[in-house]
Amino acid sequence: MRAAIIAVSLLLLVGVGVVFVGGASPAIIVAPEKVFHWPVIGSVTNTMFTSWFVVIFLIVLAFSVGRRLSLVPSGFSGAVEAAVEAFYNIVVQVAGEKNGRRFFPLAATIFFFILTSNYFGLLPINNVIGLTEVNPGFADKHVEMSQSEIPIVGLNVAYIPTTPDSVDLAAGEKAYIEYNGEREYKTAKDDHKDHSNAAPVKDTSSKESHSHEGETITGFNGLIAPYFRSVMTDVNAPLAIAIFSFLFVEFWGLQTLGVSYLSKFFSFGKLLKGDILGGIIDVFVGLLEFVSELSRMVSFTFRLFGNIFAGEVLLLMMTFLVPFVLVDVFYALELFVGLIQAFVFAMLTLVFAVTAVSHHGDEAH
Amino acid sequence: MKSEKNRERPNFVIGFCRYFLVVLTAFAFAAVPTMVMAAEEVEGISKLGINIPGLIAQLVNFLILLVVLKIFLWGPILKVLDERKRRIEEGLNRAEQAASDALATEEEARKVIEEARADARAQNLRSQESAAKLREELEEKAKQDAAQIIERAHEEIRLQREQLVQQLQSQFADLTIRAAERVISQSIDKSAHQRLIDEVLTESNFGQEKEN
Repeated sequence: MRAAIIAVSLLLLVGVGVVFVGGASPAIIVAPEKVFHWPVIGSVTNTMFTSWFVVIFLIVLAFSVGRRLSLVPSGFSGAVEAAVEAFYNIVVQVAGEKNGRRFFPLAATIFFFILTSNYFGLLPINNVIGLTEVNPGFADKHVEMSQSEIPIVGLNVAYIPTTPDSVDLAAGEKAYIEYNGEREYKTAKDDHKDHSNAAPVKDTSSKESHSHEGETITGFNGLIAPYFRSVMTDVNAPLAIAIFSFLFVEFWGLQTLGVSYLSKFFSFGKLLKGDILGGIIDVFVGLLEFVSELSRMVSFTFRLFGNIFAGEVLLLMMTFLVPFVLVDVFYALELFVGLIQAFVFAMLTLVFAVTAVSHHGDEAH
Repeated sequence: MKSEKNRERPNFVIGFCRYFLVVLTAFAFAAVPTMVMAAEEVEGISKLGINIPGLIAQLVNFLILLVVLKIFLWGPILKVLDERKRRIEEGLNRAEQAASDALATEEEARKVIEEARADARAQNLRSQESAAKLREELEEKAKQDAAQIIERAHEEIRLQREQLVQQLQSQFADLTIRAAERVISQSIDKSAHQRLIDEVLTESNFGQEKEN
């Protein structure tokens, strides 16, 4: 009986969500949006901005936990320590005691940074609060979305108001439009005249703006460039981690095996001895090794980026289609994916590092 | 503690130099796509969002994170883990030692008790034996004593009886003589006769003795 009541009310909730609380239509943009233009740093993308938060969060965590570590684990630091210890045990299991200690800082940083980024990306502040922008590429696609902006500590924060603002263009009120990184305030009079670029945008972006004179546009139709966006949906972030992973792996290989490590890629030994056929095969195999070593970076990057970006798109879509209840299932799924991807990245780095430091004879193909 | 620190410092410096080397290479790597992109204005890559400022920002981010976490989190945590492991190992070893010690002590105690018990049992047996012997001896002696006493008593009784018989004989003879004297000295009728005999008898206390 109780189960039936719960089921019915959940269904009802889903229905209410679908009918009355339609989310904003998501615009899928792969490249991170530039949301700030600051004097020294230049333009800052939302993923960069978010990653700073993640980094600061982790650093604060490190300071607060690192200070309170004790032999008898207790409280929050004990919990963090337990998580780190669990990861450390896995690392030692994979790489052995000696190598495990050596590889642990990188693997752990990769794991916890990606994990925190992914989970930070699931917070509801992501993809919601942001700059409004008119993007000509999406002019024909967007759905009406009423937004307002309020200045908070110098930032213009756009939000979706409960009652849409209306701007009377005809009465000379200003509506703003941003294009090509410049923000301009327009009135009905100077629209169409000065900026030939902005004109088509304006035409398609608002139904009411087809005839400007004497009409009122309701709110603003356009895209939100969110201030917060999941860090790993920016290709640069996985790429940066992949570069570090690659460099550390090669570095460890060189450090352990010396110059003989390079003979994996450049094996001219047999060729110089006069064994032409075997030599050519060796050189070719070395070439393949070299290419596969480099392609790891690409696979690292796009595995993580693809998973997290797809997850974000999935969440946006589900929020748009079924705002209540059902979307939670996908949040749970994303929690899982975020963990798995972080783990996979760290573990693959570890495995590559282990293969790099082991002698050639050990890895018979 | 101090010596440990001294040993660690050069390692730390070398480690830092290594990290620095890696980082330099990382930025060199970042420079490669820059040149590529500058050279051919790769449309696809920039649409995907790969751009140099972004990449450099993320490299810096990750580097800061790596260094800070290594110094302030992974290092201390590993240290604590090692220390704890060492302590636990030590504790376990000590516990094992204590357990084996306790076992040995118990064994020893058991042995001692066993010995004492055996001792006591032997002692007991011995004392019982000696007691039995003693008793037998005593009994024997008592029997002998008793026999002696009885013999002596018999002897005494015999002597006494002989004495008594002798006394009696002499007394009786005396009495008889005296009675006869009286009888003879007086003319005797039958009643006087009897009276005389009675008189003699009462005088002699013979009747009393006989009663006794």
